Amino acid sequence: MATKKVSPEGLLVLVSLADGPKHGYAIQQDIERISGRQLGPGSLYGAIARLEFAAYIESLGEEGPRRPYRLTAAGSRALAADLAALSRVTAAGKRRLAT
Amino acid sequence: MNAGRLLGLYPRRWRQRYGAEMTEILEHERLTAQFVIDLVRGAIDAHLHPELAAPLLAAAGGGTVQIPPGSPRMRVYVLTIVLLLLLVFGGLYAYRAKTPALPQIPLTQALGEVQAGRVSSIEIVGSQATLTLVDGSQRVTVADKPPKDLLTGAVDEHNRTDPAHPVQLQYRSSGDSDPLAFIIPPLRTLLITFLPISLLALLVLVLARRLSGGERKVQNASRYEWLARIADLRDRGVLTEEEFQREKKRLLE
Repeated sequence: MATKKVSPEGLLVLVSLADGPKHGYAIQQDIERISGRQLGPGSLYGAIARLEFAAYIESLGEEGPRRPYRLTAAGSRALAADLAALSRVTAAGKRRLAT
Repeated sequence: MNAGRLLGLYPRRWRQRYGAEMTEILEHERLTAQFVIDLVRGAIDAHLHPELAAPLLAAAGGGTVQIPPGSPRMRVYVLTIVLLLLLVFGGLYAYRAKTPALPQIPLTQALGEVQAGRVSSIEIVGSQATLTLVDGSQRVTVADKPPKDLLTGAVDEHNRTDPAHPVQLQYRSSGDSDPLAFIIPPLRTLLITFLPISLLALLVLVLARRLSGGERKVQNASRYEWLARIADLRDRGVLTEEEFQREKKRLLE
């Protein structure tokens, strides 16, 4: 089954959640650490809302400021597919730069 | 600048769902211009995609699927168009009202024209004098009380020195100073006043009609979009067949 398209910000969120559930602020800090990119709250929650809508991530527990999110099985599959596509692009780019 | 006020730009449902979490992030960060832009953009995005913050409770294990109301995207577009048109019409109208139909010249220049014998007649309405030149073109000058005497004095003097080509001086009671006005005054005033307004009203009416038709369509469409979505969730194993059937029944009722 085809996966839904994930935005670059969405991909960052998926990567961040790949090693375990995190709440919004932790996701933001993690993304800054791994990508050097500081996502504003508007961009971050735009991405989170879309991922939740696509059922790639889900929130754990009750309402509150520290509501953690975790990757769903569909989310893991989408992340794996996106990363595979990315690494193909990366490999092709490196190869072409080298020649 | 207060971060809470910026969050107020988001739809209510979005604030209920993500507001507390977003506030937590904002508390950790300095509110830079970049963040403000990010939030405003996010808020616009949230309004354009009302389905996003609608919690799919079924996926969380129970409850009902909330069908998002007819997309407000259409309403936003229509409102923008109407506002733009209003601005354009308003601007045109203001421009039309401000701009004299005839080129305006300073009083000194008008006096010069009279003394040089290039004027064939002058019509004075209120404080405004319309000069008709020998070549047929017209000029307008503003001549208030004392300067008006200057103008009439110049005319008298010119008529004395050059009786062969007198300048005709006419007074008209003040009213519409537009030179076209005396041709068809009521019709013209009516046209200028009501044409833009009636056009606008017509436009709004047409758009409103289209909108109400369009919204029904959107509502139906979103219902089926929702159905496609829960079918997708079932296919991916997020919803069980039984949960899917329950939601489907609820949606189609």
